[in-house]
Amino acid sequence: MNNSQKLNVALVGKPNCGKTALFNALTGNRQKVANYAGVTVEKKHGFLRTNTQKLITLVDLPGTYSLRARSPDEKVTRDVIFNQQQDELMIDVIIAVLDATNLTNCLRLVLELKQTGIPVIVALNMSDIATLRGFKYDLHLLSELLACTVIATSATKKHGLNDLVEQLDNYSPRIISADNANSWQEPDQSMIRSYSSQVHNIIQQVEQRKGVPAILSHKIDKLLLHPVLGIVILLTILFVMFQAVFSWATIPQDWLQSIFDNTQNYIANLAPDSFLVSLIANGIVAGVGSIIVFLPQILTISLFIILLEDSGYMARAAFLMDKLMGGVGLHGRAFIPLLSSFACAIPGIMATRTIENRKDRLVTILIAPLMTCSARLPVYTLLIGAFIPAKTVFGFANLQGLVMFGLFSLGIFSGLIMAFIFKFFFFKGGRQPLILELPIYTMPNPINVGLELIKPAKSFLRRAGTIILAVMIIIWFLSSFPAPPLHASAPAIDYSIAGMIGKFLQPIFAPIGFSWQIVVALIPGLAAREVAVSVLATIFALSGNADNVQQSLAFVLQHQWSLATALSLITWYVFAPQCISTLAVAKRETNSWKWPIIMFIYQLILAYGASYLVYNLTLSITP
Amino acid sequence: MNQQQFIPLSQLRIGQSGIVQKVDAELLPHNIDLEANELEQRILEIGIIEGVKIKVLHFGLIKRDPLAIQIADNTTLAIRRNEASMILVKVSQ
Repeated sequence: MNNSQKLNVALVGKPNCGKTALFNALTGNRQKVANYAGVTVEKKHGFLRTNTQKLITLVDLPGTYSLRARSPDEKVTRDVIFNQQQDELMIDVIIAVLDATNLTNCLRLVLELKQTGIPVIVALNMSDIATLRGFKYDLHLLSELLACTVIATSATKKHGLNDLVEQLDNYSPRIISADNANSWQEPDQSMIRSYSSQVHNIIQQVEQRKGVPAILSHKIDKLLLHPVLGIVILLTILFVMFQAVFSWATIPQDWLQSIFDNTQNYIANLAPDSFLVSLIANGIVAGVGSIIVFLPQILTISLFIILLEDSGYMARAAFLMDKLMGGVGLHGRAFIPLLSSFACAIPGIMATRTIENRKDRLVTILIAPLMTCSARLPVYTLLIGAFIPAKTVFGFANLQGLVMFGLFSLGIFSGLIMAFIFKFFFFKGGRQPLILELPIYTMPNPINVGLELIKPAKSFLRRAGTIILAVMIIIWFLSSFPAPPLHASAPAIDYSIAGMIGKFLQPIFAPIGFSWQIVVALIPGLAAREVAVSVLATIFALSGNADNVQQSLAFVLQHQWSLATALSLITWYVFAPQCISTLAVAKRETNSWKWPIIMFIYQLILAYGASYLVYNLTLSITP
Repeated sequence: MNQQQFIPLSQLRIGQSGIVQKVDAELLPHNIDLEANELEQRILEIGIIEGVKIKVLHFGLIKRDPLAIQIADNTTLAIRRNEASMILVKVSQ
């Protein structure tokens, strides 16, 4: 393809200007999908074609107020614009995305971008809301004053998108010359003041009518930022979120479960003695199926996080929690990464990039794995379902739901305590400022939410189809070979390699009450926490006889394990460093092995200690 | 310029508004772990700058910290009381 038919275009703008919504509206599903939903902290690539078939690679970049790169996410933006990474595309055109309801804060960035020598097109985004609120600008004059094309757009209403794409036909790949060399300099205070007065002048000239303030947003804030009510509402939202995961999401989960159960039985009955059938029924269907049933729960928790982010509430939560979190040395901004960690610690750790200070960021990274991620849900759900009676307490709450809430709380509280310890012993230092914009509330756009929700779903199913599938096949082999001797009295798995490994390692875990089957399940659980459930399913499916193959795993566990063992395993899962991907992302984000090693060791000590306590306490109070 | 009539943003009550007269990191009561110039730049960058209208909207629960403020009738921001002390305001009557 001729090079002139390709163009690399970057979307740049301050946080909350609707940049990602514009990116989604322009590229639809033609994106190299990042795995995780939430605030943009990493560049994302998408593709589109103009009417003349020019291929545009659109790069969505983290929001920034300036090119100064004060935090790691802002550094991503600067590096792309200045082409500072070897493997990076060279940006030919910048689309500066402006919030049309708040030009003052956006225009200074445009003035900075003009200095880079890269052609700039201004997208006056959220123009539909601006018009509704009565803002009116002279776009011709604005375009003249900024010396660049200005287009009014609305990502949600799909206004102006074609005009914007049409404009891209006017540009060709950039050739750096003396005329367009980069003259950007890091602005100091006096330059920022001078930029700001230029912006003030521009707005004076182009603003034909000033819109009304966002009255509804202020009214909502009176309630949601109320010192007492605001915190009550925040806790209620979190409680509803966890209840939704455990109660509402179980309905579609039961449907999926019965589909997989029937499939497994159907296949198993086709040829009861065949190895291949056993592999498919007990290894693949039982194993992968027992994970896929958790898709509704993962989607539910991701949906909550996307809605909280898109509506503008996340920043309010940071406001409400700042002082409380400051008590243990955490920054208010840490709330967002920590809440994301409830979906998965990996996007949570990545979201710490919005924290400017390195010490604050490291503490947040270290405790992020203690937030209960969705991969622990399968384990919790299985064990709570098997060992905690489903009765109603206090007239309204489900006891199982309450225990789940307790486990989430345990993770949170130990995280806060660990943050305090880390901050006090390793990261002594003053506080960092909190300077955070509270964006106006917006109704999340269903299509946008859908596009964001597909990401965790795809990522989860990809894991189920790759890592988990591979692990399950390996586990099936290890659990099936060597075959038991003739006339063996114990189930086949006792004679297998998996059985041998489990029994060999079991003494280490005996003080916390783990059986060798649990030990077998923990090892592949390092690749993906939730896989432990599948492994147990496979082990017990293989060790079963004709009678209990039909019975649920929960039922089997009830009869095989003591309450003490079950509680000990749950406790283990609250604390244990059971996830290699988390350690790997911590290594990548901190650029050193030191922090993942510290993370691994402290979590291991916590897990073993707490499980030991729980196991022995439960033993002493149960008959 | 007589600074006596200007008071720090941190001393405004909820609902009070004024015009920002001076942003100066030298005025911080408690030192924080950030260079003064950098702090001043961040405050300017988010839009708190001399001449802009500012209004106090909400306080946090504990020690009335942080503050939610509105600038230029438009942007809502969160800022801690300590950093709000470096913003001098001429209170509107």
